[in-house]
Amino acid sequence: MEKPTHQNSGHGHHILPMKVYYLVWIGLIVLTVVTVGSSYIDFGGSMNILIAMIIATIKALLVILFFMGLKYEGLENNVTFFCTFAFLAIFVGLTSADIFYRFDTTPVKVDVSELPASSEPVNVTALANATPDMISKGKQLYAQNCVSCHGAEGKGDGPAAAALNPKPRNFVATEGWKNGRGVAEVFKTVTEGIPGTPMPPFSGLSPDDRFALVHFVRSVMPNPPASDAAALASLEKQFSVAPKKRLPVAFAMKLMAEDAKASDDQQEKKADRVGSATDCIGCETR
Amino acid sequence: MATTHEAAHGNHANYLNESKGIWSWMVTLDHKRIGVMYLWTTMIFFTIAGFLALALRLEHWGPTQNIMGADTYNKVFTLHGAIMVFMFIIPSIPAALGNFLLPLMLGTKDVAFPRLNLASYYVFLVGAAMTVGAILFGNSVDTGWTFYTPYSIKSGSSVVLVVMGVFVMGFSSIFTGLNFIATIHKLRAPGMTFHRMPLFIWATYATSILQVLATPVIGITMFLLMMERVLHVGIFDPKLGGDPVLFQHFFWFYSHPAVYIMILPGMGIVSEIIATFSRKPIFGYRAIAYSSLAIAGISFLVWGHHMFTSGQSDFSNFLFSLLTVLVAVPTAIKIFNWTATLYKGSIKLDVPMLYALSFIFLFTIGGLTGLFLAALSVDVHLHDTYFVVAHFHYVMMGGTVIALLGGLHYWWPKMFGRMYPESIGRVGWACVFFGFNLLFLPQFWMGSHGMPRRYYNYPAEFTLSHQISTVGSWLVALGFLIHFASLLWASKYGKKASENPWGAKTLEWTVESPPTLHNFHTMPTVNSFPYEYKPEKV
Amino acid sequence: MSHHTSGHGGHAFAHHFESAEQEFETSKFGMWLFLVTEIMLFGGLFVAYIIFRGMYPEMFVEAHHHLDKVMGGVNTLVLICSSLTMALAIGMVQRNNNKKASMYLVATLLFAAMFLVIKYFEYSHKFHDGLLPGAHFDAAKNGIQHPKADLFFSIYFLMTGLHGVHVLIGMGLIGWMLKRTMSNEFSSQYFFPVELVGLYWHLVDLIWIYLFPLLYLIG
Repeated sequence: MEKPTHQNSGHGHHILPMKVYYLVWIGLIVLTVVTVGSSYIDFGGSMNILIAMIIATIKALLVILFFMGLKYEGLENNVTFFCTFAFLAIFVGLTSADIFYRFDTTPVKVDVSELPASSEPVNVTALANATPDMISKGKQLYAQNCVSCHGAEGKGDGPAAAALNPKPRNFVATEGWKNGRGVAEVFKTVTEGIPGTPMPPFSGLSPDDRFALVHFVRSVMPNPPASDAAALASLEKQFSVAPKKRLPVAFAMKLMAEDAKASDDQQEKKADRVGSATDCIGCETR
Repeated sequence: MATTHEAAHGNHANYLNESKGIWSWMVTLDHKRIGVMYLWTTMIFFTIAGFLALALRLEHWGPTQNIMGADTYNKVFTLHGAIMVFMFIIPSIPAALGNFLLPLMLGTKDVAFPRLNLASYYVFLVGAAMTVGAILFGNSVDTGWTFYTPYSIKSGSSVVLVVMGVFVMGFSSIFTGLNFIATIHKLRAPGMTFHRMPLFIWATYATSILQVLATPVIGITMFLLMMERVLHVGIFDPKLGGDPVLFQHFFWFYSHPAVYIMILPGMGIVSEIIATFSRKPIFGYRAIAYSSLAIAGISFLVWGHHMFTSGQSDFSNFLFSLLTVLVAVPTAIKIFNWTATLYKGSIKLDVPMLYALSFIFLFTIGGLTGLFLAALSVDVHLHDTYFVVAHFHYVMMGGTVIALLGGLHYWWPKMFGRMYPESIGRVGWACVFFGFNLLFLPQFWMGSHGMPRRYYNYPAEFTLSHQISTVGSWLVALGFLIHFASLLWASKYGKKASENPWGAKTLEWTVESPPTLHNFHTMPTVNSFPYEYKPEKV
Repeated sequence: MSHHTSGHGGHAFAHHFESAEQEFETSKFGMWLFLVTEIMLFGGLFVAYIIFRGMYPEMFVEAHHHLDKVMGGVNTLVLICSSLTMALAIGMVQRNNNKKASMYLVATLLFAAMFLVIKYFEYSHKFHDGLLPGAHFDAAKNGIQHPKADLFFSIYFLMTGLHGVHVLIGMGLIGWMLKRTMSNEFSSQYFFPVELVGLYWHLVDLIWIYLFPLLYLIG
C-alpha cells in the first residue's frame, strides 16, 4: 500500500443526511419490538435463539454501518473490525471442542474403583485353572505358533528342530526345565522366551492366549506339577498394576466440590484426597 | 516548542540532552525517551527475576532443603515466572527497542499517539507496582505464574493484588500495540511501502496485532479471577458449579499468543542483524515478513496444547496437537531464510552477529523440542517435567533474551551515541552462550528421566545434573554482569559512534547517533528495498 | 505537544502529522483498533455464556424467567435512542451547528442516565429475591430448582455490570465532549474527538443489542 489515501472525495469527511439516522433509528425500534414479540411464541427447538440472534445481528449491522459509519470507511477499518469476529469465533469454537466433547459428561459414581479402565483387566486366578475350553484353544494356538519346532506330539521333534541348538524342549520329559513346569513358570517362559536359545518371547499374544497355551502344554506333560501358590501370587502382582483410570473432568470437579464443602463444614483440610484417591494427573503449564 | 541548545561538551543537540532534569523525562512524549525509560524499567525487573532464578538454582544444589523453605520456594518460582513474563519479556523488546526504533525505521517523527505512549508507560508502572506491592506488603503469591484455578481461588497468598497488576499491565500492552499498528498503517514516510519496511517492523507489526487481539482476553480472565476471589461468582469454581478447566482455556487463549508476543520481536532483531553482518540482501524478504503474520495467526489456534493432560476432550487434544505442528512451518521458513542469507555472505562476527547466530542455534533446539511436546503421546510422558522447563527456556531465553542482547549491542551506538567495547562484549557472549547451554541442556535429560518441575525435593540420582545446571546459572549471571557493566560504561565513556557504524541500510542509520528530538532534519523519502547491500570487495 | 496551526487548511493538528486529514484518519483507525479490544474483552464473557448455556440449557431457561423482559426491552429502546442522539450530535457538529449538537449531547446523557436508573431498579429487585451471583445466590428466596442457577446470575451480573461500567465511562466522555462543544472548540474542520466518542458509545449500544436477547429472551 502506498501512502495512506483518502477514500472520501473532496473534503474527506462523509456527511450523512440526517434523514438516514432517523430511518435507521426507526428500523432499530421496529426490530426490537419484533424480537420481544417473537420471544412469546415457541418456534420449537433452537429456532427461538436463532431468530433472536439473526434480528440482533441485523440491528448490530445497522448500528455499525450507519451510526458508526463503517459503510463509508475504507478497507482498513472494515477489515480491522470484522476480522475480530473471526478470532472470537476461534475462541468459542476451540473451547467448545473441549467442553462439549469430553468423553464422559454423565455423572459418575464416586467410587474410584468403578471408573472405566483404559484396557481390560486380567484375572490371573481364573485363568490359572485349566478348562477343556482353554486346552482346545491352546491346541489351536500351538498348531499355529509352536508345532514347527516342538513337534505335533510335543516331543521337541518338529521339522525345524534339526537345525536348532540347543534342541527344542521335549514336553514329555520331566527333567531339565529351565524355568520349571508349573503354570506360572511355563507362563514366564512363553512370555519372555529363554534368552540365549532359539525360544522367542510370545508376549505379542494376549495374556488369555498365553494361558491357553500353557494349559495345553501342561496337558501333554506326564504328571504336571501342581501350581506353586507363591509363583502364582507374584504373577498376580505383575498384572495387578491396574491400567490407568480415565478420570472425567466432571467427576474430578465433583470430588473437588465435595472436598471444598467438607472442609467448609469441618473447618479442616483434606487437601490430598483428590490427588491420592485417583490418578488425576496435574495440570500442565508451560 | 523544542528549545534545542548545544550541550556543554560539544555534542550535537540530541534527544538525550535537548532538555534536562528528571521532570523533562517524566513528561516526555518523545518515543525515544519513552523507549529508554521502558528499557531501564524492564532491565530492573529482569535483574530482580534473574536473582530469583539464581536462588532457585541454588536451592536445588542438593536434593532436600538448602537455602529456603518449601513455601518460600513456591513463591520464588511463581515470582520468577510472573515477573519475567509480564514485567520483562512482554514489554522488553516491543516497548523498549520497538518504541525507540519504530518511528526511526519508518521515517516519521513519532508514533501515532505520543500521549497514549507515555500513558502506557505509567499504566505499566502502576501494574508493576501492584505486583511488587503484593510481594513487599502482602503475602506474595504461590500459584505459579499461570494462576490456575481452583488453587488460585483458595490460596492464602495475595493473588488478587498480583492478578490486578497483570490486568493493569495488560492495558499498557494494548496501548503499545494499538499505537504501533496505527503508526505502521498511517505514518510511513513517503515511498515506504509495506514491502519496503524493515523486517523488524514486520515482526513488531505481527506482535502488535497479537497484543491488540489477545491481551483483552487476559484482561477479562484476570478480572473474572478477581471476581472469583472477591465475590465468589463461581465461573471457575467447581464448588459453585463452574469449570476450572475453562479458566485454562481463557488463560491460554491469551498466553499462547503471548508466547509469540515474546518471540516475534526477537526474530525481527535477528533478521536485521543477519542482513547487516552478512552484507547481503536478506534472502526471502517476503517469506520472512509474511511468516511473522502467519505465526501470529496460527498462535490463536493452538492454545489447547498446554492442556493435553488437564482432562480436555480427546477430540480437542487431537485437534490442538495437529494444529500445533503447523507453527513449525512459518518458523522453519524463517530459519531457512536466515541460513540462506548467511550463505556466501561477508560475515563479520561482532557481538550482535554472535548473538544472532546463537539465536538460530538455540531457538532451533527450543523449537524442535516444542514439536516433541506437541505430539500428544510424548507430551503425556513429558508434561510438567524439566523437559518442558528446558524447552521454553530455550525459546524464551535462548530466543528472546539472546535476541535482545544482540539488539542492544547493535543499536546501543544509535541509542547513546557510543560504541561498546568489542572484546569485552565477546567475553560476555561466551559466558552467556556456554553458561546457558550448561544451565538448560541437563534439564532436557532430567525431564525425560522424569524430574517433575516445581518440585522442592528431588531424588538423589538427579543431584549431579542439578549441580551442573546451577553452575551454568552462575556463568550466565557472570555474562550478564559483564554485558551490563560494559554497556553502561560505554554509554558514557565509549568511543564515539558515527551515524552508521555497521554500514546498515535501514533508515535509523541515516540520522545522527544519538538522534535529534524530531529524528529527521528533512523528512526522508524511500525509494528502495531496505537491504540493498552490494557485494563487498575485500 | 499542543496542537499548532499550520498552513494546510487553517486548523490545528499535532506536530508529527503532515495534515489534519492524516491526524483524523489515524485517530479514527486507532479508535477502531480500540473497539477491537473492547469486543475481545466482552468476548471472554460471551464465551463463558455460550459454554455454560451449552452445558445447562434447561437451567438458563428456568433462571431467565426471573429477569424482567419489559425493563430490559425498555432499556434497549433507551439505548437505541441515545445512539440516535449521539449520531445526530455528530451530524450537527459536522454542519457547524454547535448549539444543536450540545442539545443532542445533553439528550444522549439523559438517555444514558435513564438506562442506569432502570438498571438500578432491576438490580435492587434481584438483590431482594436473592438472585445473586455464585455464593450469594439464595434459592430459598426465589424458588429456583436447578442447583447451578447461581451461574446464570453470575454471568448476568458480570455482563450487565461490565456493560454498566462502560455506560458510566461513556457518560464521562460525552460530558467532556459537551463541554468542548459548548465552548465552540469543534467545527466542520475539526470534530474527530466527538466522532470517536460516538464510535465508543455506539459500541456500548451494540453490546447491549446482543446482551438483551441472550439474557432476557431465552426460549
